[in-house]
Amino acid sequence: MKWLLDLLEKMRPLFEERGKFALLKPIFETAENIFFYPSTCTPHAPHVRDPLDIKRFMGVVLVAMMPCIAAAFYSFGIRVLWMILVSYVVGGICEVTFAIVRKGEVHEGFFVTGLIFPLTLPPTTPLWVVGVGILAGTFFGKEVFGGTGKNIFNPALVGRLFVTIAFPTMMSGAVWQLPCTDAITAATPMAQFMTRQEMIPLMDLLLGKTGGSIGETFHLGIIIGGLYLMYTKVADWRIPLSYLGSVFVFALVGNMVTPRIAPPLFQLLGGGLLFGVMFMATDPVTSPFTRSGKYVFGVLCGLLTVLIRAFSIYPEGVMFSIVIMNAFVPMIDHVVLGLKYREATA
Amino acid sequence: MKFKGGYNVALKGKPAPRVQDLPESEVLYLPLRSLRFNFTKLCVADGQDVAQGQVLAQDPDNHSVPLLAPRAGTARIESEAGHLVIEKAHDSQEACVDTSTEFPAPPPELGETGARLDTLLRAGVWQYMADPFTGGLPDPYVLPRAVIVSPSCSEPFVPDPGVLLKDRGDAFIRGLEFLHTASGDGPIHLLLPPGNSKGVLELRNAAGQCPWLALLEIPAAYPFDNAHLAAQRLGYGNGGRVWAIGLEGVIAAGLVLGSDKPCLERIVAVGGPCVTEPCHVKTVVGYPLSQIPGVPEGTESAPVRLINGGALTGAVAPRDQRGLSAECRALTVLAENTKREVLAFADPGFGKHAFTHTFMSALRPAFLERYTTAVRGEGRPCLSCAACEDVCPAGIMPHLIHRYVNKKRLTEAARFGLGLCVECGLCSYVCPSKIEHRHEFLEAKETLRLERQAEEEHA
Repeated sequence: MKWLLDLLEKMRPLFEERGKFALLKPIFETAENIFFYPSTCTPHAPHVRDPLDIKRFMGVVLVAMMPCIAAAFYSFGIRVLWMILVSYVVGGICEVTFAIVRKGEVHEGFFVTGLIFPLTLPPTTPLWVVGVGILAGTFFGKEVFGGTGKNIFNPALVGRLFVTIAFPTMMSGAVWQLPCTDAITAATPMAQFMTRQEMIPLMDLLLGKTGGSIGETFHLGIIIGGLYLMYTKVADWRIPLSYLGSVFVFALVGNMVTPRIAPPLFQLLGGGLLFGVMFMATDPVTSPFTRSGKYVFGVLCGLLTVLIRAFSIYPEGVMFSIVIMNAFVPMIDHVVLGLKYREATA
Repeated sequence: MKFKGGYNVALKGKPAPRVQDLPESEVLYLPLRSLRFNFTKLCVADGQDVAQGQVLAQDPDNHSVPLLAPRAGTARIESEAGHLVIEKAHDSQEACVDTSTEFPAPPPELGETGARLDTLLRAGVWQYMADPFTGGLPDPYVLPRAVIVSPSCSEPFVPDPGVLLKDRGDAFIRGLEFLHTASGDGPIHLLLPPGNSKGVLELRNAAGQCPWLALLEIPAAYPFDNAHLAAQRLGYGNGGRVWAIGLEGVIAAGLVLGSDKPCLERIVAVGGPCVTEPCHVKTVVGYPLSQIPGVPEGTESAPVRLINGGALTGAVAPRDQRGLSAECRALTVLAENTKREVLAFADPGFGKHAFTHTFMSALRPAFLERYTTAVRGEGRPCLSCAACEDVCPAGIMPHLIHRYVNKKRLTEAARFGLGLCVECGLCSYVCPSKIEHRHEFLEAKETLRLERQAEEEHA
């Protein structure tokens, strides 16, 4: 790799101040630091540091999504690749532009957002809609707040919400391609339940033999990815536990009260719940940082999901419930901290 | 008592549990500054012959703690900046406690205890004492309501209790007995790590002989032997009058009170991944760093970092430091990082220890890693991943405090427990965003302290 380092060194003057491409310095630095970690030494005690950094942290999320992506390729073909590419390129341009404006670095969180977003879309989504969606998500969901770490809403979900509202015809109705076929249907498991109270067998749901967004159908893969995230401690187990637990409990109770609420196991394995729980609700930036806050967040997300699924015009409620709860995160943390440090203030 | 957090950094180069006697050095370089002390008041003239145990300098801001001449010889004041040099140093075999230099006098009502405290102060033992909350030096003549004796052995790398206590168990018990008298009926808490290593057995043995010792069993992880943490756990408020002392200090007190001679030799742990034979050495303050065996000399292409203390809380030895400083109990040597790692985020990482299970090393049995001083990543904004909260032994939320300290809102930071921070450094160690929590918090605490001081003076 010495030759690459030499090449980079040769190119460096171009990107320095007064160089030809001084404006593009963030891109150069990002590219450089992806291949070669900076050789910084610890400025203060502790003099040794843990090897985990944000690149690795986000890399683990990408690895956890691999089963879903593999299943998506298997089910929906090469189209998935184009969708992911468009998402990365358009989102990347947005991220880099902001890095240039801010004169900062490109933050790694974008690699996760750019991958999660296309996975939440129906397989038939036109590529330009993918581009518009990721642009809206990155811009309104993240950059206007000041970038990774400062955003309130999950950027991928903001993008998904944007396209849902801006292009309703492309996001619902007969847009769902059945896995491994060319058949297009209007019926996702959740929609089928909503209109006809029909339930797909749980095994088909688990193995992803139904229509749905490209990343959300293969639930077994999502479960494996989610467990991996929790094992590596990149995702906190408290949110999945409380979210799934509350969906289970509310669905169990609700199903006894009204048949509009689907039974618990169907709720857990149908639609985008698992995908949302594992990869979006657990985003540390947009979920509460207090431990008890995480439980509150999960439980309320679960309640909202069950309610929206049963009583709104949308068959699916995960996206809305997470975004709504994202907005309440600062308040949840504020209340939890207020209770926890009550004595300290008194 | 429930303990949470804590973590053992698996650093290679643990000092072997044996003591190596270092040959006498003809020249000793005594740094006039150490971590807590600044010996500004010189008591000898340039070229003066000094006796072994004579007071060379004092720190006027810290109850006149002395810098003692570890060996007889000729004092040189100006030959080495920041150092007091002793030339023609030799062991005269007749060290005695310096009674001629002026020290703050003990109040007469302290009687016998006061006299012994005076001896300890003159014999250079008082510098082992600390206020667990501030880390500063307590007033020797304000007797404590409790004493915390900590083996403080969990940080990589500080002296092993077994090595310190070997053949010196009697002195240890004598030291404990003195502390018992000094504190009146106040409890003497001895922190006791688990296991049955030599050191722990010695500690248990001491506890058997001193029935008034209050034992506090602590887990075997860093930093549960931290005296500040223990003081919080035991419910002592930051009102002062609690003393914290390590094994070295108790042993030194016992030796001095038993023989009426100053304790000039000390055991220093020398460890780290690039030390050829990490072990403990028996030496004196001022011993030239370059003559300590096994410590590599840094070169231009392969620089090393010498640390006064352990790898997590120690202070970098200044470039011009020539000899062991007055407070040094450990010397950790790390290679400075010069390499740029290629595609480190994609490294399976069988050889990399991580707090989270994000590297394949999680699947391996325990092993030690050759750490360097690499930060291993780029600075990023906090993600609130809460790894710092998971390791924090004090039960605070470093990520939350960082938010407020970062915005210079120190009142809120203090409200959320900045004052409970024991400065163990684990939060900075685990942070994937490479945020310098420990340094930030230290600065914030200092600012708060100065603010409070200014307020008091104003009022």
